[in-house]
Amino acid sequence: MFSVLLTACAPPLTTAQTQPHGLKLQLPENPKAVRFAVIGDTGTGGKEQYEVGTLMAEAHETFPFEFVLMLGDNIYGGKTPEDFKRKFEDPYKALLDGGVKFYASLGNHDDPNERYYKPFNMNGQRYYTLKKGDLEFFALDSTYFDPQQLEWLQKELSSSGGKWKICFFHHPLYSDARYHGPDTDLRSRMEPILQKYGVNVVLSGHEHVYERIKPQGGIYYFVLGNAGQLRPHDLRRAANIAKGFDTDRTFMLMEAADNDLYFQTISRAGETVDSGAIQKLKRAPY
Amino acid sequence: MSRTIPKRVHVFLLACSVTIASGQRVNADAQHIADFQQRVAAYVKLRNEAAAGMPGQKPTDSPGKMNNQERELAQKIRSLRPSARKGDIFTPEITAEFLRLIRLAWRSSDAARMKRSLARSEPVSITLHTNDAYPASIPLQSMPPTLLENLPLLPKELEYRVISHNLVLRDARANLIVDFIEHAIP
Repeated sequence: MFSVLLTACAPPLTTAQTQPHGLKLQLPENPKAVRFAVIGDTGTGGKEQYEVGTLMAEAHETFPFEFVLMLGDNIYGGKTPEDFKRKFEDPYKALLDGGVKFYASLGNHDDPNERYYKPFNMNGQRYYTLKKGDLEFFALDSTYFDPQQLEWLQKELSSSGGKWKICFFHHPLYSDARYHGPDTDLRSRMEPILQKYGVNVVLSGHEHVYERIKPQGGIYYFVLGNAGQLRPHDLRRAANIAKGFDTDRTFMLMEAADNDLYFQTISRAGETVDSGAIQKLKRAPY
Repeated sequence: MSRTIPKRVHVFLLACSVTIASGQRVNADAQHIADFQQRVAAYVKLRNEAAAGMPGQKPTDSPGKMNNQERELAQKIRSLRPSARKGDIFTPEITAEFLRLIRLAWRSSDAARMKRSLARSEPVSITLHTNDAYPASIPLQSMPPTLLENLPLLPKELEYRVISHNLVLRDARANLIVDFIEHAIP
């Protein structure tokens, strides 16, 4: 169970730092926290992707996140070296040159062999785990969630000592966007395991909008499939949504330490479209 | 830690219970699956022969090198199976067994979810040929997990993909269409 302190319309958590684009960071900037960014459906090579990349680099100057999670559809269309350069290396060049690591998951527009592209840090695996401080991340391949992957996930989650367990993969289990909607078949297979083993946060893309879903079974779901792509006005008004945004691209910043995880979702215009804190409370064993 | 019985075992048991009166039918079904697995194993053996002379697959900074390795492996595989054709693995008997398993799944309580998943997986339509590469610029349809549970397990070198209503056996690393069943998916 979690409580969320919504601060989108409230005074910022710290003294807001204003940056050249008017970007106001609203995160505690705890020096002990694990800091990361989240992007999804990025690989268009379009002007908007570059603008988000520039904004991320600007945010990084004040909020030096260590790594970026990629929620799939990392490279659209062709997969030539020029495509990788235009759709990934150049938009995020400042971050890459600054030593920020990118950890990718595979989307339906990705070639599964992107797992061999070193800058995606997948180490040749379609699904893998990643430990950062007290956080353990589980990158999954939702395009091909076969029995072997399900078994692997069960095993990894059951043995995880992470205080925060965060899964990231392409297809959302919950979404109120019109174009695709949630993948209920994937949900039927994955959700029981996520709940059983105490996953705290799930990050997905695929829908080209931003959504924060109300907690489902104790898990916070975010959809962020609009860091490159966008499907304007695709969100429905629905009971499940805590916050939605579908008129521009976004990226998200997160920091977690001890029992608190903070997030801030920022639009391409540098505006905060969502922010808050998730407090990790004791959960009864499943 | 308790383990639930995988769905595919449920389907298999259902299949057995439906035909248990006819011992011959159960044996024939199992035989077709065993045949399928032998043909798949033979392909993997050939494929590993093709890969034997190549440097081990490691992550690289170079997408060009990544793509070249994929193409080179595919070419070597093609050279080792130059007369490969549709039906080499999915023989008529094996195809019939796969269609039976798929139709069983389509009659299950999971059917509606699988159909929705497929409908929303950005279906594509391409002309299929054995030994062809899957076009790089066309997205792969994601596979409903329940459908995967109802099909025989594959070694890690291979995967099933639905392309339109066809079931394709694909070598992921080589990006090669190994064989396929047309109109397999209702």
